[in-house]
Amino acid sequence: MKSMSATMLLAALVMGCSATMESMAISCLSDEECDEGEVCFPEGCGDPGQNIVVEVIPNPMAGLHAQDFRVDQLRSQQNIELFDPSLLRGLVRREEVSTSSPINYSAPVTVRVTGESLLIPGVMRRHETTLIPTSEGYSLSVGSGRYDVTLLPEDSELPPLTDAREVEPGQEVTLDFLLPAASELTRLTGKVVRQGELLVDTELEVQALDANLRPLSQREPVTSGSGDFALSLPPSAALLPSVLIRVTPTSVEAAVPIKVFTVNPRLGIQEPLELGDYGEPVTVEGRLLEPDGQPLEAATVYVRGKVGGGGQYHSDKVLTDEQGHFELRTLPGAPDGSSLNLYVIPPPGTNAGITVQAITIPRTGAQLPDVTCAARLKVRGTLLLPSSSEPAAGVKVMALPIAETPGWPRSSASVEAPRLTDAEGRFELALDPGQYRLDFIPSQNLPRVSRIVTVRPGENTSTEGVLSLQPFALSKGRQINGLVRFSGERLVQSSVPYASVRFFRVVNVEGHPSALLLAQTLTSQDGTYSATLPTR
Amino acid sequence: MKSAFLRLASDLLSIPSIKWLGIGATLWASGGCLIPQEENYLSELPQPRNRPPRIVESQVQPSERIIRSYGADLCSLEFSVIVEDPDIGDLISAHWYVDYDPTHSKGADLEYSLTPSSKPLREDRAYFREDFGALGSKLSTPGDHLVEVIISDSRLVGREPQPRIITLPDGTDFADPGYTATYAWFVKTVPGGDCQ
Repeated sequence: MKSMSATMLLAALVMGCSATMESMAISCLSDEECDEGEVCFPEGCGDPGQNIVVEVIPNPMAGLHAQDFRVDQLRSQQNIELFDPSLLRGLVRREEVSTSSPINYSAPVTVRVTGESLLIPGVMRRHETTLIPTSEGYSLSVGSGRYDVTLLPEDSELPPLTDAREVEPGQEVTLDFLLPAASELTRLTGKVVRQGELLVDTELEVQALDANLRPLSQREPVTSGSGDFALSLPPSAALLPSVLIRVTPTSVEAAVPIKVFTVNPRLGIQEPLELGDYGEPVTVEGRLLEPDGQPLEAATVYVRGKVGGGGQYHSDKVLTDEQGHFELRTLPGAPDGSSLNLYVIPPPGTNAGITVQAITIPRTGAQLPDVTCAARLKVRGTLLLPSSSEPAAGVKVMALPIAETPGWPRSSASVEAPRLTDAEGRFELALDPGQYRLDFIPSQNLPRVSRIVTVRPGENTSTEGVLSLQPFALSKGRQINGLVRFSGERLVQSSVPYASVRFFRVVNVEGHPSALLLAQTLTSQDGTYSATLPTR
Repeated sequence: MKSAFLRLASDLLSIPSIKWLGIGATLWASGGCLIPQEENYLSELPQPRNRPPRIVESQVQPSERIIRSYGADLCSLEFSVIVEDPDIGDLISAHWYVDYDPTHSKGADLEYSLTPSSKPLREDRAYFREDFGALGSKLSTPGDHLVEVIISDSRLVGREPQPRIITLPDGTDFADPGYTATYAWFVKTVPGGDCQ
């Protein structure tokens, strides 16, 4: 799989400098193309009053987290009654061999809750607290969601415990943790060396993982001067056919690769874990140019790839200077001649695009030839007012990457068009290849509108590398007003000032549930809100 | 038949100095009605001074200031702030910085302008999204990171808000100060994380 990714990246490199792009996935261009009462959404025409989910976040700082509700039929006056805060609670106990029943555990632990909204796909939620469990255990206020809950004892001799729970609004969910007795733990001890008897002269950590890369142990330091380490795994780990031991440097400045070893937990670690001959750090110099040949300043540059000994190396990141010059300290490539990849991330606002280039770094270092970056591709379009051929001026346009285009690296940065739509409703964005959600955010009382655009090298692009989208129209707006209040029994307060209220449309797109943000607002001091949603 | 009062007035006016005194008094009295007493006109209404925006701290996301183990069980992050500005016409921009180094300033990592709205609480939010496995990830390097957002109601030079120069009716210039508000998170990225 990794070699396939590397091949794709190389393909990207080869195409990089001459790439053109295209493609837009729009099933409708305006509400006029839809049936009566329907609105043109990114996935096609649909009823704007259906498939609505509203998320309310009253006050996270005060432990009042997100609650999500389905809205069967959206009304103009849409009051929202919140439940009491959802709670995750339970006991933390530890097995003791000397006693027949577990005893309460009362040392510091971290409870980490990571997951996603139950109703709004893609809306991630996370909560974390460090506490000392009492005889009544622990209690943590959380948002509604589907979570992995991990208990991480501060005592690193105890392995992390993870379980899954779903939490509905207002619900109190119980999750008890039972830590294993010290005598029942699966223990793995070993030694990390560079080669033979030669130790690694930098700080390292080791961690045991299962086949799905889920942690079986905590991260443990490797003793400097001896290379020794000891890991504690849950008793169940002894039943696994194999576990993975990952060795990582603690600092990116350490010129040491990451390497993963497979061991049999019943047999233990019988040989030292050898990182291999990965060489000594060398200097790589080079110069980056924009597509027009001008030096590219303030670009982020780094190197990744396989090095001698079979480990994976990630260099530190550096910035290019005013002349586009960079100097990077990195490990050399593997002796078999396989190449590393040079990654270039240009700063926002330039025409240069993300560039990946395979480079060979010998053990003497390298002075690279100039690297000319691929051009970001221009996406142009025209926006119209609802039910009109009049241009929509003064609209903000954002592009949010949602998926990568096959053969191209994934970009993480959202891009804002440098200007609002002009008097003719025109906009322009410079984008790297990928799939984007374009959000159009009007400043008048009109709802935000989104479209999905795929930018990829190839057809339907002008010779200047411009993708021209067909004109499409904003939707009419409908004002929704309401009051948000608590209706539970535990909270004294009923009004909910400064609460975040977001409306999503949740539908299946190509068989996968997908959420589209329709409107977002905040309640006022008295708990009332108003939002503008699309309508016909 | 003349009254005694009129006879007395007639006698007095026959004296030249009294006549001129009477004419002067008449002019003085009538001038009080016809000639403006105050020559300074009311100026235009004073220009309202710029007021600072604020970040609605109760709604900052993530709500935790310190985010641990990024790259292990947490593979993406979405930072966002909501802004309130009593000056509803102000253009508010958010400047996001990751590991800002004043000695090697490279500008903001992301600039985001908030769409104006008709009320002080802006409906649009300033977002900064981070995906560990994506190219351009600013937080994938193991170690400690500082994520900052500066919101400003005026142009920034470096990270300093610039005043707006307003020409007053008398022709003089007035520097109306710009304001910023900031928020920061600490992110600890673990080495060798599972997010790719």
